[in-house]
Amino acid sequence: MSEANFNYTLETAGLVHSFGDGSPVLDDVSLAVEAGSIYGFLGPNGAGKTTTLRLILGLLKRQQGTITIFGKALESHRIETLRRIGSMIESPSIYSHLTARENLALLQKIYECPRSRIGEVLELVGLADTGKKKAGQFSLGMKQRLAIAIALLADPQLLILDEPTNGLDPNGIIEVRELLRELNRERGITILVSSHLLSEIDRLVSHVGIINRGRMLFQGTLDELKVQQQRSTHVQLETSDTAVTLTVLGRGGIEAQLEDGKFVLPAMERHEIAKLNRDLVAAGVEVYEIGVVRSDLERIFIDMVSD
Amino acid sequence: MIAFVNSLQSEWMKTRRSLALWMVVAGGFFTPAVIIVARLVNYARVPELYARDDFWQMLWRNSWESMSVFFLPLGAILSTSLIAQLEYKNNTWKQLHTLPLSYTTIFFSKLTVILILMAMFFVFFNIGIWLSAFVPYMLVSGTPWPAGLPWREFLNDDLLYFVDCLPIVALQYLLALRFKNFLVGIGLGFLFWVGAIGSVSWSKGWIIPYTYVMFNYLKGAEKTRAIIPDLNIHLLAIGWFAAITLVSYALYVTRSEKG
Repeated sequence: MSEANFNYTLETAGLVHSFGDGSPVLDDVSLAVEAGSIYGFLGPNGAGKTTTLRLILGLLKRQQGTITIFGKALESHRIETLRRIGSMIESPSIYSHLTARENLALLQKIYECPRSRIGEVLELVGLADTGKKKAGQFSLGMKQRLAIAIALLADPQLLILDEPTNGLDPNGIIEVRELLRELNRERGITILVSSHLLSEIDRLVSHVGIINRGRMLFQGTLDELKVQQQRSTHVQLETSDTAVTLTVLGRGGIEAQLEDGKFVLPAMERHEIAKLNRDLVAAGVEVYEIGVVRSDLERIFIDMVSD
Repeated sequence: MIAFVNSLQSEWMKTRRSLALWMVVAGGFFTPAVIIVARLVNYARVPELYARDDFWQMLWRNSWESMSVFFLPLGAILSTSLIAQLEYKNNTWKQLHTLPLSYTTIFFSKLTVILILMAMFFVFFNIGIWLSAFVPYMLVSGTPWPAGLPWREFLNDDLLYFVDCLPIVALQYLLALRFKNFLVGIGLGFLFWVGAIGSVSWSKGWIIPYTYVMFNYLKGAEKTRAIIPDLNIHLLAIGWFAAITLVSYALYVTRSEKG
């Protein structure tokens, strides 16, 4: 087992998991969630996000690899570790025949936190006025908020949220995002949040891990992902004559790739693009399209997971 | 220990307004309510009935007749399944298993809540039996209050019935933890119960742990086709309960997927 790095609140190394029929779900998944960060765990549906999070929380029996939380192995320190974690996995876990307050009260007994904490978290997620309404009568968005309140009840140091904005309207998504940002900034809570949409969390997270088909494709800071974005900026060119265009490009020392009948060129300055255009026209080539293509983060994410 | 008490309180709070709790209340009072109605319909016979020396014994056996064969086994099957179903229905096993509680605490606090519900079932039933004597006495004029309530004898009998239903609770708990589908536990429970009814007249009927509550009632019957085993069924019940609970605990703790 690798030595625990205390800069990381959560670390997994070489997680491998297969279901009963032997089909692999995770292959060598290594996550490193820095203390105080908001880590966005991204991947399309079925990529292995929930399985990873369930392993981290001990809901699935670990088959291979290690899980270290707060510098300690999960299995040997399960109870003390879980005491410091708030979580929400998949759909909200709520007793539908109880009120929001009752749902929190039965957990407050276990966490032994002050009773006043129930009112605080209900206030925090905007459910303070639900009174005697049973949770089963809540809208999906309200249930999601209650699940977040449950995760926050014990004032955790690590928050693990699996697609927390599912079922929320755009306003709700913004509110949850703001709430998580505030919790991270003001209380220093480390947050691991999964999503299948980068656009949903790119304004929230400081770090990103991208998983597809059970394998990690990228892990780093959001800035590192943005560098990758800049790298993927290119010039796209479509002309009437491929052969002559290649000659002109070769004369100018410009590397080019032909994709779907269009040339993909490295990023260039505006005046370089203008000069290339002039050269092509002078060589008798009709230029149908020339311009800079900037990939947004979502595009990079989609490109990564669609390979 | 504190963790267990906290977990027990938490588990108990979950039963608030639950179907399992309502069923325990309704099940406990059902037979006494039927007896009250029957007495009031035949009110002319009530004073004579209440004047009998063996009034309480007769009332006790009448009440336990349907309870031992139907309501107690079925109540144990349904309430145990419903308690576990609370977690499946609400998708809360995963939350329960991410709480800072050992699996042992979770397993035994839930089982304790089921046993408390069963005990409540007995308490309500006993209150119901007393009411089934009291209500006709109040409503039918000229009825004497029957003397000599043998409460020690009844409490002793209660205890034996409670012990005898423990294997049902244990096996239903195992099934409820094992199968997400509510119908599997209930269906198998019904199957065992029907099998037990058919087995009381079989010389090896005592092998089926669902027969013990029936045997406890039938052993005092004047006329019965049941073959009462020459064994201490209460000890057998405790043995089954301990063995099934142990297996159930081992299966629960070693389960690779917990919610």
